[in-house]
Amino acid sequence: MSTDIASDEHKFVQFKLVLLGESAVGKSSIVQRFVKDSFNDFKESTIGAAFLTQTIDLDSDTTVKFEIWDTAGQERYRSLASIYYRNAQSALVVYDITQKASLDKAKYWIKELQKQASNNIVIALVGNKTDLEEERQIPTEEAQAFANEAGLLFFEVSAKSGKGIKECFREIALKMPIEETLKRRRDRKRGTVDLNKRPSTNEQQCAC
Amino acid sequence: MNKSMVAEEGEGRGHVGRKPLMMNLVRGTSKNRILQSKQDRYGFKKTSTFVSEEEYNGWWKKYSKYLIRRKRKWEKMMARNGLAVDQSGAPKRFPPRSSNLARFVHKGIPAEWRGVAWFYFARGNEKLRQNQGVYDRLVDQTIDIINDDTEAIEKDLHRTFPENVHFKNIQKVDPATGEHTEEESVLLQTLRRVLKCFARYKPSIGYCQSLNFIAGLLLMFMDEEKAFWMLVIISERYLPGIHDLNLEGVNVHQGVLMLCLRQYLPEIWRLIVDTSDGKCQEGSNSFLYDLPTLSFCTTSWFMSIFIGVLPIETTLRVWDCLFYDSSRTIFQIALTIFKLMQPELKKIVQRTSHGDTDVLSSELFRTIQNFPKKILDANTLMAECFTDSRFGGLTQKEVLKCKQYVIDSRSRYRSLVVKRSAMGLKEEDRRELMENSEKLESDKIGLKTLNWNGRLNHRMRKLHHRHR
Repeated sequence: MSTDIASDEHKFVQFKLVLLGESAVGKSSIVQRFVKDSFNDFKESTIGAAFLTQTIDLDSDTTVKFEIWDTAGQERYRSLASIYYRNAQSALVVYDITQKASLDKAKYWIKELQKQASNNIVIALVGNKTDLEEERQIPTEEAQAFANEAGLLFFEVSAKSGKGIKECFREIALKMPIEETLKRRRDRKRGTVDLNKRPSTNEQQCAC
Repeated sequence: MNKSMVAEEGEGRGHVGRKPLMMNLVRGTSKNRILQSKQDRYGFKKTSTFVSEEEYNGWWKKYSKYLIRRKRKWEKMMARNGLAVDQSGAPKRFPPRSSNLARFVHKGIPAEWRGVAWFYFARGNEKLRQNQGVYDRLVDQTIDIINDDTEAIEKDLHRTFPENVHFKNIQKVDPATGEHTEEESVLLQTLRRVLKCFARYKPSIGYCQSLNFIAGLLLMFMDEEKAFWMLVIISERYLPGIHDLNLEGVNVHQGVLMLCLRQYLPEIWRLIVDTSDGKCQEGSNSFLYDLPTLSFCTTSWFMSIFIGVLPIETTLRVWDCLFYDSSRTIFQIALTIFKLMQPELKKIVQRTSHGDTDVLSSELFRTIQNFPKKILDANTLMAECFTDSRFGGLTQKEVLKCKQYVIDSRSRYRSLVVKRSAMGLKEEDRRELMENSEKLESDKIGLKTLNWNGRLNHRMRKLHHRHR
């Protein structure tokens, strides 16, 4: 949504991405793999939410920066979730391929996003833990068929091995409205308000 | 008094298959042992992304001396009050509340005494007395139970302080076969029981993620029955509503924090307003219902009482103050953290002065999330809170008043939204309406009330002038 330009040629665009999905499917591990290229077998459960950023160079003159909002998975956190996904341009809805029920939760989130989030949000359905192939409960075809029907991007990944993670974020980045955002930035720049030039508001605050 | 106290404290609540857990998990303050170790004296990793080994050791060299000094002062103070320590080296009682004792608590309770002190100040003994045998019954009732709560607990058990040595599985090698096996740590087994019992005892809460961390930390300082009652007390008295099924308490507490920020740290409030897509208009309190995006970063401050937010030693110091005092501590500390990061936040604003609010908000979020993780020196935080900024002066009465105001405002907004959706307005219209509620609402509904507390306002003005 936001932009910053290092030079006239280089395009730098920032987008907000939110991770949703049932508890312990590996949301934070996916982020950790993407941002730090590392993995912990036992990762602390996320309380509330965590905020991270990572950039992807799409080509020599376009950089996309993801502002990643990683959320707690437990059911009751749903009531806080709208703070997380409002204004998000993309969402990763994660399930665990070894946990049948986690896909149902993912479907719930997708419905919720389609109802509540912004209209042009790009949603990716992501099955995690492909390193546990022998424990698989959800066939690729089943999830793929659902994703196709609902008009979502679909990936199977392993945060543990790293397989598919980069590709997943790259695909999402390619779907981001880069040119529109740049245009909006140019338009906005014409009417920029300098934050520093704003009259001091402290006086007002004090006089109330 | 003394006699019954001894009886209570000494009561071993033995249970078949359950040994009373009273490990001394806290290592001494021996300076060198910690300097050479990878772990701190609680078994946590010393370093993090935000604290290097060098920084930690530099701090610990000074802080360990401070701890020895403070312990001596506590011992002297206790002796003056005629309160001796028992053979385990921990006191059973503490002096009556006084401003002097409060100062001692602000400067840190000796780690070896923490469990006893927290339980004592939170009136845990009273709770225990009223509920003789309840915990044992709960353990029996929940031993084989499987439901949504227990499944969620199992998912989180091994994700509770996974880097702490006391929570890690124990690796064993069979000397005969040379076979490697893993055994669950005693602390994790205990944590499972406490969380299952709590979920059963408080069905309005059940199991909520973050309780694992709170209970886990309690268990490092007290036995399991006490940790259980402490958790009950926290959910009833210190963090009411926070862990409820709908987490409404989180929203209410966030609302209180936002109002406190507006009142006490207006410059930071401006930043929140600037970066929240017009939701925080001047003159409107609709943000109490539609919370600013920034509140995303402060959820865990309330839910886990700063565990994972501040370094562990600093968290423990905050807990000292909280259990001695009341829920206001959380707001006092939250305000202090914001105060400490104000210069950094200002720098960010100067750096991104091109008016790009998205880059600005991204930087602000990052700072609000990461800055507290660097507050290794709890003394700085406490001095700022109770001496320099005087946020310590925020009274419990004011906090409760503010909370009631937020609860009322939220329920008014909620009924407004319900009314409007009954009139056929869609969700996307809702936010716009919320933003314009000022124009739409009559005065009598009271949403225009900016000053939830005139007296505080007045005091704040005075404080402000003094600072200049």
